[in-house]
Amino acid sequence: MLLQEVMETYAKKLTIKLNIDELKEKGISELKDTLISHKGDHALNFVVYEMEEQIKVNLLSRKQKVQISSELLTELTEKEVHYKLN
Amino acid sequence: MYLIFDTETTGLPKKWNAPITDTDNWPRCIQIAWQLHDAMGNLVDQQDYLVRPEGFNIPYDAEKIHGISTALAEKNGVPLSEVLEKFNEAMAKTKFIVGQNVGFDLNIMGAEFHRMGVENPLQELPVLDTCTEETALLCQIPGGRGGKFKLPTLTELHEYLFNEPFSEAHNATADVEATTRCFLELIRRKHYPTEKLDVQPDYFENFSEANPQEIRLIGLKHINLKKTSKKIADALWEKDTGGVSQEEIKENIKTLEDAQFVHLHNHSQFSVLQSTINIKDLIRSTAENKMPAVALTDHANMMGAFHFVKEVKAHNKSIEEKNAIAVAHGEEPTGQEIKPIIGCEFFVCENHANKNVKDYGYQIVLLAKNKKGYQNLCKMSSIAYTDGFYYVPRIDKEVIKKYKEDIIVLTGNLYGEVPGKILNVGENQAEEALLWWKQEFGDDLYIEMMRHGQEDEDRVNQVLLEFAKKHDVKLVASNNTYYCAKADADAHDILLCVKDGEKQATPIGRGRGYRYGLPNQEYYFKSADEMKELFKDVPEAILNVQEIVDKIEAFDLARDVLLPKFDIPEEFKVAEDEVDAGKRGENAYLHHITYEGAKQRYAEITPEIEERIDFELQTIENSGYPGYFLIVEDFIREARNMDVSVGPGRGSAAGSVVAYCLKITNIDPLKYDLLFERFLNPDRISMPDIDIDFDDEGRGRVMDYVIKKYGANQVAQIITYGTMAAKSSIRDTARVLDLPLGDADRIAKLVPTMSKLAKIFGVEESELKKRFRSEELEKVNQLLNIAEGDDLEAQTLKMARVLEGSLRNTGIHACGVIITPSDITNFVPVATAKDSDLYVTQFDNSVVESAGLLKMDFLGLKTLTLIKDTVKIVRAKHGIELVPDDFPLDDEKTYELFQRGDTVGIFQYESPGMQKHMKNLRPTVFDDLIAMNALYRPGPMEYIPDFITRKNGMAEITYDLPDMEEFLKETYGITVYQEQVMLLSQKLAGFSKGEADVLRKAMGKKIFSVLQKMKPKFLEGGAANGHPEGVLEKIWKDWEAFASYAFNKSHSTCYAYIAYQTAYLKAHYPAEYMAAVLSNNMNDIKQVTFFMEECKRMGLDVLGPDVNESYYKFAVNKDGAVRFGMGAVKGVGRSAVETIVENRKKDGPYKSVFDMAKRIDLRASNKKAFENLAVAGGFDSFGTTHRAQYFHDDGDGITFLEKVIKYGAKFQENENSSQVSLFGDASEVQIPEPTVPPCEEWGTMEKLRREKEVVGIYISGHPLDDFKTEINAFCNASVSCASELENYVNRELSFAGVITDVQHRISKNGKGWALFTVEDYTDTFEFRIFGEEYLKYRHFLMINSFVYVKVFVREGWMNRDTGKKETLDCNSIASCYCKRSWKLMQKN
Repeated sequence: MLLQEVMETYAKKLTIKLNIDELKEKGISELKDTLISHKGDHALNFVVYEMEEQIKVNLLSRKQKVQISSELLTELTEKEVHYKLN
Repeated sequence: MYLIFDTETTGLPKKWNAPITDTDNWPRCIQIAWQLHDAMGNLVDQQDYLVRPEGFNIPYDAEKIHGISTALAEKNGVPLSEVLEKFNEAMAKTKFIVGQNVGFDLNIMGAEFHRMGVENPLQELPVLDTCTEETALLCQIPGGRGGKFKLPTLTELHEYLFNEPFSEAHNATADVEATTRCFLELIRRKHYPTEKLDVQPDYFENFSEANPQEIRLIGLKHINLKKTSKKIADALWEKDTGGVSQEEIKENIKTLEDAQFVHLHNHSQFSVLQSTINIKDLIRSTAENKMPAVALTDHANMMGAFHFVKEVKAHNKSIEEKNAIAVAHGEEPTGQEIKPIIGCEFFVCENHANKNVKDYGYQIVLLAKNKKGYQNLCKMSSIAYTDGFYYVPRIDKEVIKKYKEDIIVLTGNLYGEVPGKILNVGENQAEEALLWWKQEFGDDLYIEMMRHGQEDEDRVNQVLLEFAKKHDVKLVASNNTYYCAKADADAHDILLCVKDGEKQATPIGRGRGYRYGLPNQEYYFKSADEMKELFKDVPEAILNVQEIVDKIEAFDLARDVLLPKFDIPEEFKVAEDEVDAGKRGENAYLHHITYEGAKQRYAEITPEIEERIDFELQTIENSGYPGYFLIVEDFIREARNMDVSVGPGRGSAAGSVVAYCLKITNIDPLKYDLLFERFLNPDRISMPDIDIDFDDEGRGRVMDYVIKKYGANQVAQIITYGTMAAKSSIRDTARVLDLPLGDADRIAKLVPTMSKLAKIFGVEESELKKRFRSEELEKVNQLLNIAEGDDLEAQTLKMARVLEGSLRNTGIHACGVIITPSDITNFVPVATAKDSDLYVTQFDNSVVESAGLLKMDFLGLKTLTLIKDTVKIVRAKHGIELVPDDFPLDDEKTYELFQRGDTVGIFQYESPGMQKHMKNLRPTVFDDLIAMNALYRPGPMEYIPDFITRKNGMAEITYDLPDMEEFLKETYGITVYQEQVMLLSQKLAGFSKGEADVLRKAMGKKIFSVLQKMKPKFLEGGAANGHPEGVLEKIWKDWEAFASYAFNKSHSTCYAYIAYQTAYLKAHYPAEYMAAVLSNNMNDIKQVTFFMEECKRMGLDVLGPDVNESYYKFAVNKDGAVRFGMGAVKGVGRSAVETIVENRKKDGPYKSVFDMAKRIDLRASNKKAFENLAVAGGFDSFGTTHRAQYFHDDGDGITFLEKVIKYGAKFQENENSSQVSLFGDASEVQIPEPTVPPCEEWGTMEKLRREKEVVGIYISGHPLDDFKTEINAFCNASVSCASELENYVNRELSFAGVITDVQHRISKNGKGWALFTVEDYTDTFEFRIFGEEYLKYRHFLMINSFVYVKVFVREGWMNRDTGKKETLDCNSIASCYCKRSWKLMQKN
């Protein structure tokens, strides 16, 4: 398949991983802005984890959906947000 | 009439072109035969004679050829005068002289006539030779000189003419008969022109009539000379034997019982590719055989001398210890100490300076009696290499005469002068030679007798025995050793083949089709008993060995370093120095300039500073090397004057305030607590060692300065020995043994990199497991398996093991320079090297200093060039003069860069690991950088996390004792530096500075005996200072555990300082800095790509080359973008770039490609340069023309670019011829500009591909760049995986790439299929697609389309060509995909 169409076809779900120690209000609101500006209809998940005791919680976002695109992912990378696709 | 003749002689002449009056040159005739035939080929007369030798004998080598022994010639020969008379008679009748290769015989006989003073017409008569270019053309035997046919031998000619070989060559009568037959047959076949024969045109017809058939032999009966000689020899032998009776032999054996034997003629690996013995083996063999001494006599060089003496000394020391223990236990000491004897086997030729004649000379063994003798050997060896090198390093007798003091001479092996002459020239000449040596050396000359069981040797030995008796020269037995054990003979033979590039299968012998080799396997290190057995009939030969050994006194070559005298100003000179060679003047001068420097370095010289300086100066004075500082200070000052960047310091020297004041270093030791005693221990006298970094471009200039200052004869570079590594020894052996290249390669690849065969073989399996990683272990086991077999591969490995480590060639040490106080050959043997005008020491880097030579390391550091370049670019662009040494050490922006881990391109901090640590550490002060530089290395690395948490306040900083805080504070309580250990030991336990240094060394090198001694002292001292013993105990234990990891703070500080400078530049002038980084890595495409990535990441623009903006190196343009250097474009030379840049500077930017062609020097910039610049996009800025147009031809086969160049050339030509136009004013000549042909533009991929071809990377961007996120997110493989599918069977792969090539095909049964090539960032692969899939996906197969491919790798049919069983199945993608996600979900 053509590479140009890959994102549209295969991108289903975006999972954003957050370290609980690094959860700061500012970071979160920035992240929110980013996600809002890329509204769409792909599922959005969060995983919040804690290193010391190795706990993680999967959180599904039901209302918020995003449009997964190259731009969004680049932006996330720049912000050093770990993410996973599908 | 034709006179056909042939002679046999005593040998071959030394010079082939000497006149016949040079009677010494021409050998003697001992047999002559001739036949006289009339014009029709009828035999008129034939005669042959043996000549009675008068005043000479027939050497053995000649006898071997023709079989005429002296005895035979004496018995059956006739006097020479008689022979000459008869020969003259025959010559009177003839018109022509005929023979095979007759020039030689003419000279021989000419010389004989000359000797006897007999008139003769020999030289006037016309000559017809049967061995000429013409006969060569007939026989057509390939392999002659210059690609012509080889000149035929008599046998070959005979075989050609008569289809039967002629066997008895080298008996004059038989040779003449055969020559005659050939000659007449050649006439019969009309191979000589009539003019040459001076006959009527009908001659050939008449001749054919007279000889209608093939010419036949006339049927002479030949005497078998060999057999006759043998008969006489046997008769003589019987008469002679019985000389040594059984009783005598028994008695001899008894006398020899207590005698000790010593090998005086041994070669080591330093006789390059001629011996397999390494120095250690030699000494071990000597020790095993309990011999009291051993000599080293390599071919013309002394490279092994120092190692040899050192090893012997080490051996003796261990023996001494062992013996002492034995004595202490009341046992008899068993160890035998060894006396090292240094010798050399020289090539002694006629005249060592004559490089017109290929004269290897004779091999003579010289041994040094004492140190003086050794120095003479060094001198001679140096002369051999520097003056006498012509194919081999040679000396001559004049040289020997000059340096003969304290030297013992052995006559050498069969290639020695006396034996050699006996064998090849004659006994009289040999005797003369012996007398010369005797006259020069008297009792120090020994006749060397060897018995390797060869007939030629036995012959020579008979004569040598006679000589010894006659001239009262002592005999000495020796064995020429080239390998340790007899079993190594084969390996040694292979080594010789490696040397000459031969195969072992080639037979040993002389001439074409043969190779050099030792005649048998006797050249090994024989035991004393074997030697005694060999020489039981001449016991004195063994006994005399002891005499030689006694004459030699052992000496040591290690000595203190000698400094060249440094010129100090008059007012500091002290008269007494002249008398006792003291250093008062130098010390005074050093004191003076140190304080002068201190005034500049320090605003105020406080008492502490003064105390430190005085302490240092005192230590330097005690060490006795004040001159060292003066020398270093001198060339560093000079280097700075020459605008060469000098590093801020390197190694422990940075701990010296004196060095800082002298501007040798640039780091203030007081500021960073760097210790002088780490550099020079005040309690122990040692040589200071200051290493200096220069920028790698200026390094050469500093070296030139030193050479100029001290004179070329006092400066030398250092040799490096190139040895055969594991892989190369396997490959070389394989070639010699004729193992196919592929097999050799396969075996060689099994050797783990950086490993040695010696480390693999003969080692316990458990040890192997420890040594190698698992995948390496697998290969190692394969190797072991191969070696266990008994095929050629096993043989190869076995031999390679012996050869590994053999010296193969010599080179030059890149940065070391030796400076000596006077002529260098007084101190060390030297040689010359190919790529250097300087002398090269024969001793290598590991020993030069121990041999007493001052070594200076001039290290090139690329980073200094980098800083210099950046400063230059900044100056050019912003007009700011940056001084790196003045950069503030508290620059916010620089630390931010470190904190972000943006350290790509930063000296010492650029590894990914370091980046990670930097991000975590978030350094804020320079001390953090020093510490990290010290910690980031194997070992202390594990302390980094602790260091980081402490620094960031996440862990508490604790000290065992509050007193320790002072020194450990900067590293947050962790001991990082050796200096800290030294300071603490002083503070806590009152150690002296010297003791602290000893402690440091002992800890660093884990010398437990020293540590044991120091521990009580530490505890005592600590207790005296009121510290609790338990804590002291703990500190000591920690130190023992950790201190070996502690690093030299002086060095770390210097390098952190350089790193800081680079980081400062990167933070403030990112574009300029990256341009410099790119320029300095221009030759390595991978590095360029890597740094380009970094530029992109940093948000810098990197622009392709542009003739209107680029320079040779990378640069920064006015918009702050990095401009590609034209020098980095393939095929564009420095001169081309220079002319482009020069003309651009002169007359402004180029307006068009025509403009450029008109202005630049077209000789410097060729067509290739133009083409590649065009492809790289160098002309893109001219706007209207696109790259494809430059390569478009208008159907005439000439590309547009070629037309442009021609146009430019023509224009310049016209301008130069300064034609004046008819109408006066217009000197501008009008040549029409070629038109730019319209054509289609290259596609992006095409453009990028071509671009990559010339610059190695995609500059304008990689085609896949737009899809990076997709690739990261959705691909689990890359194109590279396709070439190793066997690893992915039954797995599903997804990768992305560009299709660069597609070929649609139709198979035999009419089904379509296709070949297509996919390329990604790193690889390309050609895929095939068939059947259903082809139909389904063929619309994707378009050149330059970006595809996302999912494949399922399935084991498929057997491919007949490759044996591979995989096929790609694009069908099952979807289902697999689901499965994979499902699995992932389960995991979560």
